[in-house]
Amino acid sequence: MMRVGMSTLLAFLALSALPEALWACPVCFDSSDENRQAFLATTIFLSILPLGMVAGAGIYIRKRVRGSRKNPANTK
Amino acid sequence: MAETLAEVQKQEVHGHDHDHHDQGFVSKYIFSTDHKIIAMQYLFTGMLMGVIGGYMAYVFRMQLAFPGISVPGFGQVSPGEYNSLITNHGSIMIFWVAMPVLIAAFGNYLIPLMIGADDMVFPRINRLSFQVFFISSVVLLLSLFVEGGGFGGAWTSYPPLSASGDYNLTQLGASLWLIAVALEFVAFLLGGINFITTLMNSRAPGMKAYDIPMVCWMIVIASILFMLSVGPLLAGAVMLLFDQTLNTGFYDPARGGDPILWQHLFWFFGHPEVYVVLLPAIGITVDVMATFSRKKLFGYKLVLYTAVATGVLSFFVWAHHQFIAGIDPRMANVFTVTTLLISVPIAEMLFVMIATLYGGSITLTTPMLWALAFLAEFLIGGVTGIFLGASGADIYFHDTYFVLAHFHYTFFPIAIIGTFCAFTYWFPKMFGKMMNETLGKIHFWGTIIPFNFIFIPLFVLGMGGQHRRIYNFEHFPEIAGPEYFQLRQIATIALLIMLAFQVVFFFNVVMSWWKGEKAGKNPWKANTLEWTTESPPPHGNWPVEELPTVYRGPYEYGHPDREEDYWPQNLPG
Amino acid sequence: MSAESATPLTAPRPAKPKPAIPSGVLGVLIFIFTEIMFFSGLISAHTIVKSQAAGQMWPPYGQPRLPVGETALNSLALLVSGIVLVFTWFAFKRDPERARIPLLLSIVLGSVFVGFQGVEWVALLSEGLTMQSSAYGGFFYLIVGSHAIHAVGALIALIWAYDRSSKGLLTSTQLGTVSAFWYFVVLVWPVLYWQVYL
Ligand code: HEM
Ligand SMILES: [Cu+2]
Repeated sequence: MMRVGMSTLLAFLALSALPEALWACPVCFDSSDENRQAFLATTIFLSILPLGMVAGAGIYIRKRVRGSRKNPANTK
Repeated sequence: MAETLAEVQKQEVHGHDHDHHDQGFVSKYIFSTDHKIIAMQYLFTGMLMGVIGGYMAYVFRMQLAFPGISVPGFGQVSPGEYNSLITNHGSIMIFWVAMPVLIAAFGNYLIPLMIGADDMVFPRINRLSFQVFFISSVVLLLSLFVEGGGFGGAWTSYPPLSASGDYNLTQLGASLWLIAVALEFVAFLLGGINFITTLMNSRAPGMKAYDIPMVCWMIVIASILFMLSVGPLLAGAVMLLFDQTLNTGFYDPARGGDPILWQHLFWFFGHPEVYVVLLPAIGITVDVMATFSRKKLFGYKLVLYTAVATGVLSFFVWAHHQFIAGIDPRMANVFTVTTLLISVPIAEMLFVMIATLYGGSITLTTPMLWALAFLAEFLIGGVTGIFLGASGADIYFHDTYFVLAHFHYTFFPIAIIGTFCAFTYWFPKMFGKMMNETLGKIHFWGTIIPFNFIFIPLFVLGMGGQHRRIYNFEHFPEIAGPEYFQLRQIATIALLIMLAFQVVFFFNVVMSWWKGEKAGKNPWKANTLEWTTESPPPHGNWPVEELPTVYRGPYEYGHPDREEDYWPQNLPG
Repeated sequence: MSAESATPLTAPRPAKPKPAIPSGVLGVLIFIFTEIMFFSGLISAHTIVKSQAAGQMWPPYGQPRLPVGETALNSLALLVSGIVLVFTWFAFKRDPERARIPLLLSIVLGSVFVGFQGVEWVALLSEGLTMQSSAYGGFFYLIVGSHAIHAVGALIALIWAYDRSSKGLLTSTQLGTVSAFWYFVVLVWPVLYWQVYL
């Protein structure tokens, strides 16, 4: 599982370095560095945030359910 | 009829009035808080909107195939009207048909029944949800008749075209369209809260996470996706509305705004949205397939985790709609990879369906035919998506009829085939009568065959480079070759045939409802809880003493130790 | 439903497991997630437009500066209101009667915040910062205004809770539901302040 995740990540990085050729494209270099970074940052922010929230809620609920399942067993 | 314990508790907590027995027609059918009635309201409103959307498709397809003719039932189509018809056809089919029918109608109907609850957790919020939805439908339909006509800037509503009446010439129509969409989202927010909470907190005793029927899981995962993705679009919609009405400049580059911003906000929602409608349809089809192949669903947990993985990935692919909008090519590359990745879980779900069918004893009832058709047709949609997801190929394909055919091969199986599958499968439960199988099959073939004849020609047109937003191809002699006109005419004629066959469906519904054969509790010999109560279920779903308890998963068909080949979830031992 | 039909509950149902999170709180939580995404959308849009500002002038030339210091003080009122509400919760757990005063205090502090924001807006409008004057002004009113609408809504809910508690009807789920929403309003504000004012 871990290995698959790592290799996916590496593949990602390798692939994102590929389109060097497109640096000639006018669209990409029209905008400022700051703008590009802003897009990147907000893209990451918006994608990670919902998943983080759901994962957090999921883990919390799991804990609660586990906890409430354990307790009655202990008292028996 | 007795009230249940859960309702008593609910009443204490929310102080809601649950007494609508012996009340008039209005409070029983219009202002009801019963989840089944609300489901019917959503279902029939959605179907009505579907008929309207189909009529629009008929009009603009006629214009495309036979430019300039006076379309029977409409008249001459002007360019503005054409744009408005296309725009509203798309909006209606996605937001007022697929969403309300697949999620709201079947979610409302099935979730409480399938998890053994007497109603939703928040019945009054549920009613409010439908009321807001109803208002949104009215606003949308009104927007077609205001001065200047309905909005014509495509369902994606890109600014600057959509941001100012000076550009789109439909000042009021555009704003009303946007308000209608926003209201519709509010309605589904309210509904989504209900679905998620109900599945979490109201399950029958004994029903553990892996005993929940797949369709309930799928609707709830879809609701979660919807809730998480809709926020940015609502933010964008408020900004667009301000641009339209208050003359702000959020999307106006001349005043420091950015039109591409809207595309990001829209597709951030837009792509998860396609999975929002896809997942419920998959849930419906796997349930139906398990029942009619009398076999356990192959890999219950696999399907569930795959759906979650799809949901996770769906937040990382949206920019594949903007490959040529001027985004950074390095970003485009990343989005190509994620787009190709997301086809893996989708393919996996289709394989699960095939594995479920494999070696089963299949009965080809009408719902089963629809489920099989979903598998076959959606496959084509998914595969063509991979072509579009490759950013290089998409430079050529973008905004051609190829894209249009791709998403119709996904949306049609979802919204139309999925709906017919669910409708024919649960009709006996909803109305207590069996549907006529012969008519059902005629309708099935009369829909599926023309469907392919509509959209396969469009793939060819798209590969020929035909742009998808052209009112009259005669205005562009370079690309209006006669062979293309023939393809367009084939598509239009197939559409006419398909629409004609829908009459069979409505006839079948009315006749079966009126004098169909009585269904009994469990006509399909299925396992899930909704089949253990009367058809149609009474208010409160089960008498208090009989509220079910769950002992096993929903797909125990053909168990070797049992005489019957099914094993209902609520049977002890 | 009438009280009589509720009493004869003959057949005992097998016990249901207690929900991990009460339905009311869960419902509000889901709603809050959506709201967080809504504000994230606004903030992202703002970040992007800001990064494109002509000549990197932000605020643009000729537009008034925002009252950073005064608003910081005002934010304090909001934060304290949130903290007081935490105490309200613990007081309520011990004795619902004792929760009334801190609840009221929390409402008053919240209202001070909203009132002062209103005063600020009037001043800014008179200095020439409007929604149309620039993207800067547009985003300011859009983001702060969205927050203000949520604050007012949450205050109304708190006042409703206060009214119920003075009648002795407030349940802990109700208080939890209403507080959850107010915490959201309080906690999202520092982020907005950081993005819009600083
Ligand atoms: C295997 C999964 C899928 C892949 C890889 C995929 C890929 C794509 C890509 C790359 C585009 C953009 C084409 C362009 O505009 O140039 C696109 C468009 C579209 N797809 Fe898919 N898709 C998939 C599944 C779906 C599903 C399940 C649905 C619907 C429920 C869907 C609905 C749409 C729609 C509506 C559009 C067009 C939007 C518009 O421009 O109006 N797709 N798809
Ligand atoms: Cu997409």
